[in-house]
This record gives sequence, structure tokens and C-alpha cells, in this order.
Amino acid sequence: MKKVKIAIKILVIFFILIQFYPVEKPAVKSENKNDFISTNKMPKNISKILKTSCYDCHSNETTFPWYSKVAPIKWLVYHDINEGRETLNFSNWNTLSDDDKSDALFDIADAIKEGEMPLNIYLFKHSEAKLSKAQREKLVSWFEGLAEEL
Amino acid sequence: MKNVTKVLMIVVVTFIISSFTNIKSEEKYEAITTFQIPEHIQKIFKNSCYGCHNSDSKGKKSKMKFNIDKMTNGKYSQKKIASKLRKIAKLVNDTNEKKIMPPKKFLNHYPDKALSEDDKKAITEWANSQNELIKSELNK
Repeated sequence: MKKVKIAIKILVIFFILIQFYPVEKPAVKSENKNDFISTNKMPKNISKILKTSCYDCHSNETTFPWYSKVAPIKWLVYHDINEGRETLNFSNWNTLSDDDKSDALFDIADAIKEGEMPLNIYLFKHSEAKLSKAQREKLVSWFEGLAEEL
Repeated sequence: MKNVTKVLMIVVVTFIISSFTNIKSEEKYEAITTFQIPEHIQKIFKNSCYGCHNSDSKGKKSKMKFNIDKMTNGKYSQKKIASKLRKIAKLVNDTNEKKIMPPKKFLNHYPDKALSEDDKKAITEWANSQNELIKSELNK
């Protein structure tokens, strides 16, 4: 019993200490003149899905729920956001060349089609971001259409 | 007389209506010829790329990003093929270790599958010229 108590105390101390480990929070910017939604015509249901299911990791408009401020979850969340933005940042969409836009659109359509995106770990805590089969099909066809138009 | 006039009128009106409802053939159409990969490039792909980038691959993500089979079986549109070609040319020459193709981790296990400088050159030239060809086809 004593050993368990000590172990718990150590864990608690460790948990408190790791909160002080310095990590840079991904910047949040709500006004983005090159944003994908503001620079492209799209049905309202598409933009709504994008904001709910994609924009937390793939834009500058990230919202951080309470648990994302607690280490070690914080590190995972920040990592995913940084990686997401590096791969695709909708906030900078209009800075891309037409070729890069085309490439991105095909990749986006495929990722949604194959169920790679949104990430399961994100959906675990964001059930509202889950995409139904119909939503996926709508998104895929819309993105593919845009890719072909470019 | 009246009946003949009626029939004539119907025929004329039908012709007029049908001239407005003809489906316009698309001014631009994608080339129907299927895309082909030359032998010397296929050889390189077979050695260094097929493992992950074909339909039989177990790698879901790699298949999703690029499937060589889909380039030649008509599953990729012309525009999509052009997009993949651009990506290929970019990635085989990428200086970023995390992005370069084939992946560094893969080559650590299978060093014989690395692309030689000649391979990279051949792929890049082929990909770029094919991309240009498709672009000019699509802009006709």
C-alpha cells in the first residue's frame, strides 16, 4: 500500500512538472485574406463541414479545448496541428500556384474518399466532425469538380 | 388542307425546338487514349516504387496518394495524371528527408531500391515532358 502511495505521488509530481515543459502553441489568426472559403464559391453545407471537420488542423483558425492545454495531450494536439498546417493550410490557399492548388484538391478528395481524413484521434473528441457517407461523397465530388475546373 | 397544315406546323415546330435542345458536344474533351508508361520508366517503378504504389500494396496511405495502376487503367483523369506527374518530379528530387521518395526509412531496409542519379533524371524528364504534353492537350 505504501509503495502504491509513493508511486502515485511520483506520478502526480511528474505530471505537474511536465506542464512546465516549454512548447510553442500554434498561432491562431482569424482574419486570413487568402482563405479557401472566402476566395472560392461553395455551397454553405460544404463550408460548414470544412470549418467543423477540417479547419482545426488545416487552418489558422484553430480552437483549443481545455484538455489541449494539458500536457502530454497538449504535445500531441500541437503536433497534429503543426503537421496538418504544414501539409495543407486553407488559410493560405490563395497563395498557392494553380498547379499546387490542383495537386492539393486531388489529394484532399482522395484523403476524404479513403477515410484517412479527418483523423480518428480528432474524431474521438470531436464527434460533430464525423463525416457521414453522404457527406464524404458530396465533398469528394465537389473537390474533384474543382480540381478538374482549375 | 387544315390537317396537312397542322402536321406541317408540328414538324416545323419540332425542328425548331430540337435545334435548341441538341446537346452541344464539348469543345474540349479529354484525350481518350489511355496513358502509357515507357519501358525504361516502368523498370525503375517496378524496382523502387511498385511495392507501395500499386493496387496490391498493403500501404493504404501510399496507395491513396499515388497508384501507378490507376495512371494506366483510366482511373485517373488527365488532370489528375498531370498532378501526379508533377508530384513525382518534385518528390524524387526533394531535399527534405521527410518528403523524398522512395522514403528514407524504406531505403534503410531495402537499399537496392534507391534511385540512382540517372534514374532520377530519367523520371524527372519523363514526368515533366508528359505533364507539358497533357497541359497542351487540355488547353486546345
